[in-house]
Amino acid sequence: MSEELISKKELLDLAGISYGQLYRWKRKDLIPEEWFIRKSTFTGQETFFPKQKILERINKIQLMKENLSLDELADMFSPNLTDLQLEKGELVKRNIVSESVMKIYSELDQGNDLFNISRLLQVYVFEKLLQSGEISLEEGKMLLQVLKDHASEIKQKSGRLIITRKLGVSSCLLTVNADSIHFEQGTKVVASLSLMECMEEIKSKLV
Amino acid sequence: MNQAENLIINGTGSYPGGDYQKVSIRGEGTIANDVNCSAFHVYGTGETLENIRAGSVKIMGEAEFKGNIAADKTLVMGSMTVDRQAKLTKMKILGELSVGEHLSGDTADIKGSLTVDGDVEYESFVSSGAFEIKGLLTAEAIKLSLSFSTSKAEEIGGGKITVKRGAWLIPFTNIPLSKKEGFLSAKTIEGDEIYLENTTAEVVRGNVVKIGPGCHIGLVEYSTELKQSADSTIKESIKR
Repeated sequence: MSEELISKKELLDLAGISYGQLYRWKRKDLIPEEWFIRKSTFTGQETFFPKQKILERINKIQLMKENLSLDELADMFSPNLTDLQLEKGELVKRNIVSESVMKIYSELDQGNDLFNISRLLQVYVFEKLLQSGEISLEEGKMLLQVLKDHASEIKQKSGRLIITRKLGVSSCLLTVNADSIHFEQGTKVVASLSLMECMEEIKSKLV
Repeated sequence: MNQAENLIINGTGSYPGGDYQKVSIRGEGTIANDVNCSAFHVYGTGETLENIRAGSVKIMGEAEFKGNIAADKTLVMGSMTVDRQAKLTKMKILGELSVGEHLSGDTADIKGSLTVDGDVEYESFVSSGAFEIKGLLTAEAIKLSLSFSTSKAEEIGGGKITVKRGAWLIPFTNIPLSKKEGFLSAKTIEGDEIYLENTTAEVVRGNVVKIGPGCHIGLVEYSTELKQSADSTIKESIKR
């Protein structure tokens, strides 16, 4: 699938930033090297970017640079979360998971107290939906099972978690790279969560 | 814990790496593994076969680093070669430095010569020497005084870019001391504020672009202002 590209010039116009800022962010590794796509055009060499990704990223940088230094931002965007390990207590302390939810999770999950990134995602989604009151505890258990069974597929993909109810029976499904999903009439979609977004939220809490 | 010891090589020797306080090579020395030290001085010929991390690096003779290097302060009066990546936070090059991959840091002051096969990233890059960079040269402020030979970079990008002819003038006049002149050649130059002299480039893009004497530019794209000196050529210019 080819992505839509945007030239550097158009990007600067659209985002309202200067060359200096763009290069500064590149130097700080806020924008990955792979996004700089060099192509020769009839006016000479030009640099292009994947449009969607870069605009999203610049938006985020502009929003967050008010509160965070560029170095802190760089840590956030860097993908070194894969070898992240956090203690159970740390998660509660950092306000990622509330104490009560963590207690329920620990009862259901017979793992140790160290959380790697995929377990972190599980417990975060669990927390989020339980706290908002959208799902019941039973549905939460189901959800955890789904996330656990397909943990390997979630990584780095735009997965979406959907919980539906019909006639009092609930079901949970996980879509990976799905374009659109359609349901039977009368099905109520209780919750729909993008796992990528959850990941970003966790990252921003970790900083 | 014991304080790390000094490693002093006088004469010829090959030593293992490890943690040292000060490493000083006065003859010919080779260090076989990773080194971690607060000071690394070479007065003769030095070589490290793997990575090195040092507080301050001083090369008066000749040094070759076959792995990566990270140093807070670097002064090169002789010649220094890095085969892989170099992170030299504060560097001053009076002799010559050549880097095989990426070179980065905070401030670069170049009076000698610099050769890099990858990209160069600094906050402030000041050169009155010569360089050849195969990749992108990017810095918040780039200030070049061209006094000899032709400096080359594939791409130059940053906030403020100033390129002037060599600064060696007869005091209180505008007459250059030597007849030699330096030049700069790049494919693209992009910045917010750009001033160029003696530069050949295919494309120059910026907000405020001033083209001084001795330039040959294919295309200038600017948004605020373009000034051109009479003795330079611009094939095409676009205001956007």
